[in-house]
Amino acid sequence: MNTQFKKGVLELIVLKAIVADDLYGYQLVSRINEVIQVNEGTIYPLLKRLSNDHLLESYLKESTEGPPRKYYHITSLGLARYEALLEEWTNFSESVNTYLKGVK
Amino acid sequence: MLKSEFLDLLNQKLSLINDKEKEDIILEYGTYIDDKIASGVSEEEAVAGFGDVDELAKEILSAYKINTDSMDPLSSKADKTIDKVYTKLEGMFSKLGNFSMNEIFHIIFDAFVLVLILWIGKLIVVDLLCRIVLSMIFSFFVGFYAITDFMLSLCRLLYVCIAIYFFVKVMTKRVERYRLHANHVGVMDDIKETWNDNIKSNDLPPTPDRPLYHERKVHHVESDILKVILVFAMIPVSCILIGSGIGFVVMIYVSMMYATTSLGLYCIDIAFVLGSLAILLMLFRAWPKKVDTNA
Repeated sequence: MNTQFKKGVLELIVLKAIVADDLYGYQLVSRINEVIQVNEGTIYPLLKRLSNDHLLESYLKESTEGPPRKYYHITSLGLARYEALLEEWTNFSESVNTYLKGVK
Repeated sequence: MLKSEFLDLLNQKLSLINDKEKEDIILEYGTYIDDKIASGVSEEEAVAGFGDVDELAKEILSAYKINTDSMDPLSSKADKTIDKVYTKLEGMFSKLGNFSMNEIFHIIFDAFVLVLILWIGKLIVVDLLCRIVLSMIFSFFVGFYAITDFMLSLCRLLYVCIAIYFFVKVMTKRVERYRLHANHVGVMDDIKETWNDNIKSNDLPPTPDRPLYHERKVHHVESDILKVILVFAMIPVSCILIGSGIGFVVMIYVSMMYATTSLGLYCIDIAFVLGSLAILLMLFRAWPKKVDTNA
């Protein structure tokens, strides 16, 4: 799939994945990979960026095996951003689809 | 690439980020790889999933608002090429065994030192000692003079055979050591060990590289270089020692056969022997001692 497409929607998908419950890195990547194939390495920089923008916050939680894991939680700011992005995407994809389906 | 290698490399590439953040990133990627391995993927595959480390580092840096493109593109390109060649070479060698680049350089260096020693040995054993011994024999049996060249080339051939055997034996031992990452054992110790084996199997005359299997251990390149210099310094001194030793024997022979003795010559000869012995001893003292690895 076109990487430019992916880049555009990745933020929306990450936010969507995290809306329901708090996730740690690997879980998040697995969820995202169910929808689109992304390079695993690129998720961390994105999470970092979202955290810097206060859309996400992270906390450490003990795990049964290995060192404590870093969980990500969506903030109210993040939720607002998600809503906005979702609306934008819906409008955008709808208009693109109608244009593509429509007779010239 | 293994997890530890990947994390080390990433750590290097992220040197612009402050230590605390970097630690955090490394920990995050580390746990991610662990999770992936736990899900049934091999370590190499888990790491390979991240793709090119340079790209990844760039992406992470850009999340910290650091733009690497403006940073001397030429040198970074050269670095990349070197990196690529380096990793390729390493990959090639690691197919032969579990070697790092550093160990490969060490093996090459060891081989070089070994060849040097064998070459010096050839100069002394074949070109010098054999000629002296042969001419001594021929001075008794003049008839054999015709086969001098034949005997010499025989000696040379014999020496080459022994040298190749010796080289192969020591190098296999070296490679085996590096495979076990036991490179704290210096090349000289392996030579010593192999030498001791050899002495039992084929009674070789002692060559002047005897000082090399001195008991003290070293494993630093600097001290290896110092050793080579010391060996070069030892060669002329050893020659003087051998020469004056032979002279001493000849003088005893002469005094027995012709009943003429020169006390002065004896004194000079003994002075030479003792002098060269003293210098050799001094050179031994300068021999680098085993260096503490923590130092």
